[in-house]
Amino acid sequence: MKRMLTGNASAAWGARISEVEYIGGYPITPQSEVVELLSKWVAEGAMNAVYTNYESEHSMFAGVGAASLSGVRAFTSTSSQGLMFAIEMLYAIAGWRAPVVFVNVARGLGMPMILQVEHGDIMGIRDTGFLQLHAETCQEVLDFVPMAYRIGEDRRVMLPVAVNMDGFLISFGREPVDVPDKELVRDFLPKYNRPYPVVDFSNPVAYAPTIVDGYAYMYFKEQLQKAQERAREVFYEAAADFERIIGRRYEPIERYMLDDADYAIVSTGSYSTIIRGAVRRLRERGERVGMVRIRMFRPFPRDEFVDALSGLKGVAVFDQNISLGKGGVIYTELAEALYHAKERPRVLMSFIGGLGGAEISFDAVRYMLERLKDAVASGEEPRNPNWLFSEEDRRRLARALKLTLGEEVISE
Amino acid sequence: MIIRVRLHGRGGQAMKTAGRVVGTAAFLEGFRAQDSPMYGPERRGAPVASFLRISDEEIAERGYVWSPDIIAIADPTLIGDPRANVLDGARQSTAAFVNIPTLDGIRVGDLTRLTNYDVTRAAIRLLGRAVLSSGVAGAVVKLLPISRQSLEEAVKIEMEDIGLKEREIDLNVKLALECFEGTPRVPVEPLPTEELQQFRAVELGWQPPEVSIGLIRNVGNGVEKMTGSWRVSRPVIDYSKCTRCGVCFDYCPEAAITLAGPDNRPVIDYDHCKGCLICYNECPVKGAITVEEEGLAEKVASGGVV
Amino acid sequence: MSSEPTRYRTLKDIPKEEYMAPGTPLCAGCGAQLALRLALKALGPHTIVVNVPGCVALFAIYPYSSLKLPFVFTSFVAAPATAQGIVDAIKVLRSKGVNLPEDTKVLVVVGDGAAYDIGLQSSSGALHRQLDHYYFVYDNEAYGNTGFQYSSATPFLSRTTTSEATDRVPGNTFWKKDLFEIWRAHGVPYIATVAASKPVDLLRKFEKAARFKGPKLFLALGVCPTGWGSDPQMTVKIDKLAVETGIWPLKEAVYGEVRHTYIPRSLKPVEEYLRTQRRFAHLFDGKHDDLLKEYQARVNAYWEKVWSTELK
Repeated sequence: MKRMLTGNASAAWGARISEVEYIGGYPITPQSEVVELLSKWVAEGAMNAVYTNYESEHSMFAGVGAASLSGVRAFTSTSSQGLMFAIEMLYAIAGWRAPVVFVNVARGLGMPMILQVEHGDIMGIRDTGFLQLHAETCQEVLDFVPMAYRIGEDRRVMLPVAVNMDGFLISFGREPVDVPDKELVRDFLPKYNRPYPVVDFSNPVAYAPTIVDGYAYMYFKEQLQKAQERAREVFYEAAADFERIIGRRYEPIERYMLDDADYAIVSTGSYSTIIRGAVRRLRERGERVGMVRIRMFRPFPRDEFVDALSGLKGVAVFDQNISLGKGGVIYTELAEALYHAKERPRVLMSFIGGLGGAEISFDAVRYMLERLKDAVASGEEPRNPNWLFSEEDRRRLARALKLTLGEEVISE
Repeated sequence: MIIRVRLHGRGGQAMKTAGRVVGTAAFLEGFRAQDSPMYGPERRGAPVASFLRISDEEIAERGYVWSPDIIAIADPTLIGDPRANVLDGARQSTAAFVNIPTLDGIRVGDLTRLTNYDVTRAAIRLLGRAVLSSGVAGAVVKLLPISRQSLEEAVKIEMEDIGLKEREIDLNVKLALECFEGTPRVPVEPLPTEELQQFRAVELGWQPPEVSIGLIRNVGNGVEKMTGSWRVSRPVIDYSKCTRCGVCFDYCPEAAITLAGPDNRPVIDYDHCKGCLICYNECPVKGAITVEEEGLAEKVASGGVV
Repeated sequence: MSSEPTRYRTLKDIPKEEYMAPGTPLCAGCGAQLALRLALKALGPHTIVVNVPGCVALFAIYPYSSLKLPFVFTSFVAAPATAQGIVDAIKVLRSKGVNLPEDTKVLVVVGDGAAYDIGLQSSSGALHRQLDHYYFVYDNEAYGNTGFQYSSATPFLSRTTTSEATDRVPGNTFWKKDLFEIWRAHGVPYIATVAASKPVDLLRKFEKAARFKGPKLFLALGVCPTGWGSDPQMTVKIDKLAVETGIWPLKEAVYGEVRHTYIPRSLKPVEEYLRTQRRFAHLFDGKHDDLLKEYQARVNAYWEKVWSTELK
């Protein structure tokens, strides 16, 4: 049944239809609605789960991780500063191999403080061992939660999963969302079966002993990587079952208008809606351009990217994040992925934009394509990264600087 | 030429400082030098090691010394302690210094170039305590192309660095020089760098979560660690005087005393007793628990010097 | 306490069962280890241990474990929150019909660094939520596992490796944080201080705590021969001196009502305790007598209050 839902409500519904048994909560804008809804549903008895309010995100992640380690399906959600505060626990949860699922509502990272979207938070946890699914729409937010449990709890994987949505645009924005029946989800998602739960007195175990020797530490890290690698095959199986049972099909990357394309724009998250629309219009104008959107960011869909982008003349990467001192994260990772492609695109260009919810328009997408085509035509190495500041951005900035500094630094 | 040295001791015997003294002595002598301790979680009495490399060429190595040209053993009970790994990567030609009064009946694997000095006795005589750093350093320097003067200077620098007063520094210098003089020199044959252990890569592959999640299913397996070798002094129960009050059992932090039989006879588990002597100190009956120094010969015999 | 029914009347009643395997990597003569060993005897076999970095982490050094109990190691900050997750999960599992022993307990074991400093927020949260768990602090009054650096549990005038005693500073110049009172402000059912040298008192307190649902908090003195510079064989004697000088009061608080379980009629001078440890050795050069007096006065003032309220 379809209804109008925010991204936050979609996340909560995702947890509800996954029959989550334990929820840890802590408020942060723009995520709070997720835990508000879940706490209400538990209080009403609509969900058969235990809900606990924690005093910080760090504790909250410790709590859900420990619950998962005890054999209980656990869920939480957070955003931005909260995620950074908890990051130490994320490594612990992955190391415990506790398949917690959490929804991140992407938001920029202070200072300066910002509430609007940027992907710095979710990219900041890319090395922790969490799998990552990135949603573009409210529907994907909802669908990715049961998908995440299915993949994370698989014996071949046993890893926690982050589902990402964009703050404000998706978290507070509503669109029609289909909420599948619990019965269907039960067919899709088996019960969580943890080997050696910590609460089992008939098989007592000691979790996460301190390691002093490199060989053993490296073994456990290597096994985390191997489990990540196997998550790729599990994703495909889960996606096939999801399509069969629920009726929607997901691939690790979305390929849009790539047939006979010379150029492509790579992106992730909700701004992809704008980019997709622009690509369609540019196609109508005769431009041979397509789009690739990331759904699974960890493990990184390397083979899928090689397959999708091989043979193209140029690829522009739109990064809504910045790894300071290096550049866009997706751009950097994609460069590695394409390095060994037999028909590597000749030009790979990096664009940074949309930070803190800065706007992206059709024209900005056209601009990226023009710059990309210029670079391909010139045959010279492009300068990276390129910042997507608009005339309008500059005008507004000039006014703000005049107000804050009392002098005109940039002319309007 | 790089000479690689590994020093083995027990926590509290100051092998890190011994390594630093030799490192500084080598540096003063004009060599390139590198010294580093191994940090583990283990405490006073547990096997520890430190590492040294001295060279007249670039030292393109770090950390653990896998193929030692010299092994220094500050505590002979380590030789038979499987957790001390004293013989890791040793060759027949590796020189070994042992802190022991005599080498009679002592075997260190199949090593042939053995030398010795009773550093412990010298330390107790000079410093009043079995602090072995300067003495072991003096003995090791004897096997290296380093002068007496550099040794003396290095001891001064390092002892000042750890905050010793002038008198204590002088006594440490005396100790180092005595051990330097007293240790018979044996030839040292540095292993050419090309002959260092080969690296052979292996593939482990994915393993199921029951195996690859960092957990210990065999809880309580710590009992396999024979911490009895940490002991310097041994508490001994005289059952003719023991009243079976159980106080020794009550206060043993290590759970190394059990009450056995119908009369609750306390039994000390010498495989694990670390020799803290709380039982001796707390026993309410005079003479029911006595203390014996761990005789070296006895320890070597029971500790299994190979 | 003598009026209350108990399994523990004399030292003879100390249970023989051990939940700690000998052969641990902890220092010889460790007071924390002794206190924990006794506590585990009272808690029994259905105890899940949550632990963080600190000396007791040495009970699980790969590939060995020294506790014969379920154990989970978590981040320094997060022991109470980790316990919360387990306690909540037990609730879920029981509601699903999973059979767990009725006396299942979750025990947090942390040192003073975690309890007084870095984990205080997390424990405050768990206490406020009235988390049904046991919280055992082995207080060796410094960051012992990293080499004895200052913590907010470090006593006045103690030397640590980050609060050195020199001709300009007499060691740590702050008074030890009163964690007992911080806990008490949370309105929890049971709080107690314990000392390994008083095993019967310790066991009875754990026995009594079992009656209550909610946080049950224990603060155990952890005599630390390595950090304190004391003779390992003197551990129990020093522990006893801490009690008899009044420096380590033995007390409990039931829903905030404080009662001392051992009230010395007269106090041994603090000097007698301080002199057993190298961390205080700098105080006995004749130049620190004023500070020693201040120390004694502080202890006296504490007991004057106790004597006037509890001894009638």
